[in-house]
Amino acid sequence: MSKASARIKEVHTFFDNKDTVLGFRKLMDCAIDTQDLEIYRQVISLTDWKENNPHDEAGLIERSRHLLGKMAAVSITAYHNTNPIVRANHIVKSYGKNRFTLGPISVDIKKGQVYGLVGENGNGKTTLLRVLAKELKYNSGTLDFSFDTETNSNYDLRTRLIYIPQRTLRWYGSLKDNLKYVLSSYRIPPEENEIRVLMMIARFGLWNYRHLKWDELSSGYKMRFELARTMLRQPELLLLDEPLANLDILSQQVILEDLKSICNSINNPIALILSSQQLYEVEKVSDKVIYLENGKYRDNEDSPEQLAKTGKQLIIEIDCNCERGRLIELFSEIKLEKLIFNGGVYIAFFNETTPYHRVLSKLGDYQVDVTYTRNITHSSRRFFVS
Amino acid sequence: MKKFIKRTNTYLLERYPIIWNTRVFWVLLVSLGIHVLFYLFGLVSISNIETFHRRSVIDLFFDNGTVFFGVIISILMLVIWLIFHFKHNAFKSFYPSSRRGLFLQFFCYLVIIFASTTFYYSYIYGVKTYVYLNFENEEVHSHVKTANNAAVFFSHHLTNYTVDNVAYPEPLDELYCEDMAGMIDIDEPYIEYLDTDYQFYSLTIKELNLKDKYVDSIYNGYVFMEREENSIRYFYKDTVVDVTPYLKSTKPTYFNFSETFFHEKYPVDVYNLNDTYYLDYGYTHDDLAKARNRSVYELLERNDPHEIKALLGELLEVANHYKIPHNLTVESWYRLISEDPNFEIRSLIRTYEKDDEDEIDYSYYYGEDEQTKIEKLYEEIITDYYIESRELHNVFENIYEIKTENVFEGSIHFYLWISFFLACLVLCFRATGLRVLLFSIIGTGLLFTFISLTSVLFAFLADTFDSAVQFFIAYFTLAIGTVILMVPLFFIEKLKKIVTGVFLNISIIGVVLYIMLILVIITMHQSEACNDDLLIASGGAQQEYCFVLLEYLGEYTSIILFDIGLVLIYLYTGLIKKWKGLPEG
Repeated sequence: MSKASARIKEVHTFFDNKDTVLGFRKLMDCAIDTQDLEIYRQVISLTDWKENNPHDEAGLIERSRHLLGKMAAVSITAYHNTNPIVRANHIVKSYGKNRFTLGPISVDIKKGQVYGLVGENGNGKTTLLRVLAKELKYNSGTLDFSFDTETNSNYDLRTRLIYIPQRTLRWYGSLKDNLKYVLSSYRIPPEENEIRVLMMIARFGLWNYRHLKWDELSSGYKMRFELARTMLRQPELLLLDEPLANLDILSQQVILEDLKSICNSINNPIALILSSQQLYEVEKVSDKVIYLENGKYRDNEDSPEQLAKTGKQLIIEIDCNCERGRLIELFSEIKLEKLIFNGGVYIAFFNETTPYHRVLSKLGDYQVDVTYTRNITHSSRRFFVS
Repeated sequence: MKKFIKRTNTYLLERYPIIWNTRVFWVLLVSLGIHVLFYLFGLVSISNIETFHRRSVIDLFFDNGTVFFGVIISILMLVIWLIFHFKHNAFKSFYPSSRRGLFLQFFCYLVIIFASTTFYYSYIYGVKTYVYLNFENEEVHSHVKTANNAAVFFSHHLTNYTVDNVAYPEPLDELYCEDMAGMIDIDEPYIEYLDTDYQFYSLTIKELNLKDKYVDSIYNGYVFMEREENSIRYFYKDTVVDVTPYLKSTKPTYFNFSETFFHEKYPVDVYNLNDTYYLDYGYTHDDLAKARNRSVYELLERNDPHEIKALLGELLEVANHYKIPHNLTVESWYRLISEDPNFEIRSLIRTYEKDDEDEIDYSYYYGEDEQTKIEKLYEEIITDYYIESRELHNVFENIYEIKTENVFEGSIHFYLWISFFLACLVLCFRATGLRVLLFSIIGTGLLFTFISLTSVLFAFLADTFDSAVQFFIAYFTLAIGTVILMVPLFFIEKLKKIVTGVFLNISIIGVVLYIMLILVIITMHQSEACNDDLLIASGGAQQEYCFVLLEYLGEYTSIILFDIGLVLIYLYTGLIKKWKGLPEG
């Protein structure tokens, strides 16, 4: 089964389970992969129908399935190049003597992969993104780009990579006009312009907001607009600085899912690097996490020295109404090695032989009122423990 | 309307993003409307014929305050345009942009600024249209002819009728009349009238061929000169001639009148002739004056009252047609003319209506001795009749000037260059941003101050301000300009982005001035060499003796530089793109 067929089948499954919102978004991703304007047109009219008939779920599913059938007939050429498009080798960026220095950092960025860039504030996330986006000069090392589209100048290169800063720039006029301007700048013929723009508006849930202006949109929709604008430009590399800032939890999840699926396009994948403080959300969608500590890259794997010292510990984050002494007492039976309380949550370090379900079992046995718990053994969250 | 705007915007947005983004279509549309308004304004602003009584109606745009109105509208239009234009910047967002696209943007700026600042032309064309529609050539020509024929009888000023004006019959047409005090040879025949003596001389001529590069004498002492295409003829006084036998009277008489009231060929300034000019103090013997004096002479010789009255009647009709104030009738006027059977001047006509100020007895203030004899005589023979002939002359002058003046000459260069530099400024702002542009402006100011102070210091140390200082300033500026131009060309990737941005901005705005400076330096050298080698005869222009670049190019300099400027801006778009793609830091 081809990748495209598998995705279409997955969408059918969503509709089978009445996950119409998610299903419809995935349907649009499949439609975008076809690059077929007729399919786009039908998705646009279906979106319009959907907005006019918000309660007719059965009708939507039926129409969607019909459209999926048409999509299945379109052949899609999958993208196969697995070579890195960006190769950074021992990059160092210094802001001056005795001032912050980033690196040396070496990293390979491939298309279709999501890279999460995490680290505490002031550790060089934005600097690294800006260096990779050719916005900032670096002092030493090499930075090579090998995009599929050949570029003959720095300017052309920068049209192929897109860096979206944390604070996006204000734009003027209607949302739709701004998107149209993108495509006309890329010399897309007028008849295609409207269709592609509406397709992207539909994909990012901006259908009812397409005539609004910048100051009429919430932060979440502004970010969706930025993504729609970015996707119209079909970049090969996308660098996002804190895209989740100022977004509610639901918007964060939607944006991350959107980014993940866009990045994994069958025929037009994108290499995506995003920085965020939302560790778990980022880790969930990332293929690789880049943790920066004092401007240096820290591998998510524990160092041999650390492993020799403590072994592969089980690290659990717990938020509960329980005194420290009592927790130590009840965990002592399951080989607790260290318990840290940072004022909000406990971080418990267990011997590597202790499984996570034993911790949960203990908490249940002693009827501890747990608000929240998470296994952070493999999460970069464990680096944020003071 | 809203629908039309939306549809047009969508059409432009999808097909011509640069035109949509620069708003050139809408600005030109609005400009067209305002140009039409200014055209209509010009059309109606001179609908009252009395407007033509003043001089230089063609400058009405500047004189009646329309210029301020125009400037305010231009500023408003440009500000509103910039606000709309700055809303989108594809270049800043790194959308694909070709050199051609960037240049097209610049060209749109140029067109927009030019269209928004040139309402003057529409106004003047409104004025021209009015004149073309209301003053037919043949009719005006006939009026001028009437005025020229009857002007002899205006009798405003005694000086127009004294013997020095006479140019007919022979040999008076070839003689020179000396009337400067102290220049009269009292041992030879001369004519005395009131305060002035008149002595007539025959003339000899020396001719200077302008093709001769070197000449060995200076032609001093001539009384006047005539400039031909390749030569200058210098006239010198020869021998005194007793003209009494040829004159009707030695007193002011209508017979002596030789002035042409209005020259159709040279409507604005009769002495600003292209092919011949006179450095003369009283010589009126050009062909026109001779012909005029002859026709006056013959008219008075015929002494036909009907003919003269008909002429006066025609003139008064013309005056009435153009609403020229006067209180003359044919009969009253003829009576003044015919007071003396030999047509000597017995009465004068005022150039304006008598008012209270004319009643003031100036002799009371200054004493009778302060007045010259001719002033006293003037007071005695001036009548209350008046005709504002100067206004009639102005009417003709205005009509001819408006019809013949090329309004684009001169001013077009001003508007072109204003548009060019403002367009450069907008381009710089769009390409490099406000911060870099501000630094560029400050940098330019500092450079200007530095060059000025260094030049002053050099002049102070050299204790002179001759050509050496001028060469120093020119070469010093050239050296600094060369350094500035070199930075974006060769060091754009080696220096900080903000620094190269400043140099890039100054280069874009100043590169044409740099070319101009080179032309000026070449010209300075040529001019200096020319001055060293040659004797420049008075009245000659330098380029007639040697090749001087800027004099040779003349008004084409501006157009040539403008074209070069456009080409250079196109070439600089590559550098702008290169600069934009650079990382900071």
